[in-house]
Amino acid sequence: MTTPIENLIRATLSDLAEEAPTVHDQLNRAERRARSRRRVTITMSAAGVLAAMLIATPLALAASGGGDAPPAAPASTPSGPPAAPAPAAVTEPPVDQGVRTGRGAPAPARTTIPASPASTAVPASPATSTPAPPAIPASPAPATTAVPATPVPASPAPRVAGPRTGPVTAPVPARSAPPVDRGPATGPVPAR
Amino acid sequence: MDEDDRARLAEFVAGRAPALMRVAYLLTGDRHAAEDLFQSALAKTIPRWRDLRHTDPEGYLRTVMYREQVSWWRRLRRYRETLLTGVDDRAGPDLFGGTDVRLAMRAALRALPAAQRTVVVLRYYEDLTETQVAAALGCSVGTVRSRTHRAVARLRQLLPDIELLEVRR
Repeated sequence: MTTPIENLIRATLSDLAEEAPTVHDQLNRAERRARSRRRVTITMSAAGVLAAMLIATPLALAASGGGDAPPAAPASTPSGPPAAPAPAAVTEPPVDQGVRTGRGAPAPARTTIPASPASTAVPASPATSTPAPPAIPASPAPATTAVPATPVPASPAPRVAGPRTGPVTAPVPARSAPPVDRGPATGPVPAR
Repeated sequence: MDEDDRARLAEFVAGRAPALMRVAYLLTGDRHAAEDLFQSALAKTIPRWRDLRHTDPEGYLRTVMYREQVSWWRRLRRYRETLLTGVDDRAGPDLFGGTDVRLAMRAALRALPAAQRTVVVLRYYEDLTETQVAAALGCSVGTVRSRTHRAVARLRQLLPDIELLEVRR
């Protein structure tokens, strides 16, 4: 059973249908649209796969690398021997010290060189990389003992006479000064 | 798609396009929107033409049109377009009895939401049963009934004096 409004709806729809436009060449446009639709689908699929790989690869690598033990934490008690003191590397010859004088650890070398060739063991310790030892030569007990050994006047003379290189020769006069100061201090001792 | 398939497709489109365009025009209420709807449905049918050519390509195409009309994405685009287009023509008073009623009904049909208008077209123009409409739209029969009821109620609301006019005729 139909109501009046349903009849009116049917009649109106029939009238509207008669006004429908007639278009041509629908197939070509539809084919173009289908091609673009397929292209977009393929592109978006590839982009989705790429994005999934970019996201999943780091996660997979992180998951597979979990079997290895993490780096060990430092033990609470020191397991190894205490750190060796700096003077461990003492094998450097004094000649190298002279070359290094420009760096800033020349003071011990200056005091020891005039002392005597016998005191080469003393300058060896300041030759280490740590500058701490220079404090020790500041009180040159061995130097004082070395000075009276003999060549107090002899050692400054060859130094002055042989200025081979600039940086090396410059300290030489400075070295000669301390022995002079010590001279009076030590001089009376041999004089007696 | 080989030449034989393409020839069959061209024949099908040339023979059934006017009827399908009428349905598309009723579904959309606009010439350009109807053309766009028909092309969209045809573009979705072409990739499956090889499987459909021996069955019922028109039924498939109609179903695609119906569902495309009520799809969510298309509704968004239609809403955007509706904001840009002008106001629909209003039916004014007419000396000829019935014409103003039909014009008013036409405007009221255009004012219906897409889902309700689709149900109205399928029920009252295509003369499909509720079950067939439900199968075509992919929804339940209850949904079809409720949409039909709401559509008719909305038309009565938009045309308050329609019963009076019908009686007078």
